[in-house]
Amino acid sequence: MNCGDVRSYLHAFLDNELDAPLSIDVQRHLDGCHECAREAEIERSISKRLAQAIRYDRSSLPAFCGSLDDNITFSTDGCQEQVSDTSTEYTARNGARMVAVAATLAIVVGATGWFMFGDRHEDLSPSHFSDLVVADFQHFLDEGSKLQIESSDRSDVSRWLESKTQLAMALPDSSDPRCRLLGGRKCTIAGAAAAFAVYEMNGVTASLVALPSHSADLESMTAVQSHGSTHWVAKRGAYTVLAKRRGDLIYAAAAQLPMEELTCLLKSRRDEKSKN
Amino acid sequence: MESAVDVFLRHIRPQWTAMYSVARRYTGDEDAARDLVQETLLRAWRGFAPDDTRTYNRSWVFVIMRSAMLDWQRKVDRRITMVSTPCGELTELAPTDSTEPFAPLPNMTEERFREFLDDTVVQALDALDPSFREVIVLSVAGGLGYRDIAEVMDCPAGTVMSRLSRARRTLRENLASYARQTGFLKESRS
Repeated sequence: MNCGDVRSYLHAFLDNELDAPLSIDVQRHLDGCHECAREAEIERSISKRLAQAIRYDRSSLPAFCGSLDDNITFSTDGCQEQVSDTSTEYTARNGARMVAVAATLAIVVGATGWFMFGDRHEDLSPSHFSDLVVADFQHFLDEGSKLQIESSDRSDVSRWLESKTQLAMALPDSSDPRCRLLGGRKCTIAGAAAAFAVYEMNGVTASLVALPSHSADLESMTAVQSHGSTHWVAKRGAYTVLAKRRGDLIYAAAAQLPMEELTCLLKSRRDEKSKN
Repeated sequence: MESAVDVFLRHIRPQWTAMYSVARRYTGDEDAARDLVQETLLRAWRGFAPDDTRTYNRSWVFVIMRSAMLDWQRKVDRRITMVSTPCGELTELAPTDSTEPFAPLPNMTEERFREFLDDTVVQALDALDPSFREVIVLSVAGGLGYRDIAEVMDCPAGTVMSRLSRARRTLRENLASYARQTGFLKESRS
C-alpha cells in the first residue's frame, strides 16, 4: 500500500469504517511513514477539536430527560391502571394510544420543567452506565456482527484495540473453554473511546468493554464481592451487566447470562494464577 | 417485566447527548433545538412498539429527527439552517482523494488546530455546503457510523464516505484560510 492509497482511505480508517485486513494495512503503513502518520494526526486533532466544539457534554445538558423519565413513568402508571381496570392487556392498541397521550403531556410538563428549572443540571450518566453498555451491545448485535477484527488470539485483539483506543485492555485467558474470543471493535461509551471485545459463552454472545475509569460511575450499580474483589452488577431487562475496576480502566461484561457466568470475563491473569 | 416506557427510554437515553447536539446544529438555535428534540421524542414514542420485530438501532431517532426538521423547514422555514441536498447530486463527482491524493493541504501542526476557538471551528463548519455539513454533524455530533448516516440521509454508504472525506478536507481548508487571514498560520510555518 502506497501513500496515495493510504490518503484515500485515511478518513474511513480514522472513523473505524475499514474492514480489519485493510485497517491493518493502513496501520502498518502509518507505522513506517512519517508523512502519512503526521497527516493522520492532524486529521485526528481536527476531528477531536470539532467534536469538542459541537458535541454537548452530557453534564452540561439540562434535566429534560430526567423530567421526561419521571413524568412518563408516572403518567403511564396511571394508564396501566386504567387498562388493567378494564381487564385489558397492556399490549392492546388502546393502551398504547393512552400512553401516547400521557407521554405527550409528560413531555410538555417535562419540557416546561426544563425551561423553568434549566439550571438543575441533573446528570443522567451515573445511573445509566449499565444502560449504555447494554445499548452498545445491542447496537452491535443489531448490526449483524460487524467486528473490526476477527480473531480468537487475545494478543492480536488486544494489540488492535490498543492501537485504536489507546486503552491497554487485558483480555481474559481465552483457553477457558467457557469463553471463546471472537474479535473486537472500537466503540464509544459515555462519550469516551472504549475497547469492545466479543465472546461466545456456551452459545451465548457476550461483550466485554473497557473504558477509562473517569468516564463512568459504577456507584449506582450494586456492589458485590466476587473472587475477593469488588464487582458491580446491574440487571437491564434480560441482560446482566457486571463491571469491575482494574487499574485506570473499568471493565464491563454484558450478556443474557447470570452474573456468575460473566465473572470469568473479568478475571485478571493474577486471579488465574492465584487460583492455580 | 420491562414496561414499554422502560424499553423506550432504554433506547433513547444513550442517544440523548447526540440528539441534542445534532438538533442544535440542524437548527442553529438553542430554543429551536429543544423544540426539535421534543418533536422527535413525541414522534418516536408515537411510532414505538416494543413488541414489534423491527430494530430500533442507533439511526432510528435521527431518521425521525431529520424528517421532523424537514417538515418544519417546509411549513415554517424559520430558524432551520440545515438545508438538505437531495442525495445523488454529488455521487457522480469523483472523490478528490482518489484524483488528488497529494493535493496540497494547509501546512499546520496539530497543536495549531487545537488552539482554534469553538466559534472559529463552528464558523468553518457553517461555511460548508449544507450536505457536507450534515454528514459531518451526524458523524461527529451524532456519533453515527457510515451505514447509519446513509440510513438517516437515505443515500448509499459510498456517498456518505465521499462526502465526509470532501467535507473534512474543505473544513481543514476553511480553518487554514481563517488562520492565514488572521496571521495565525504565519507563525507555524518555518
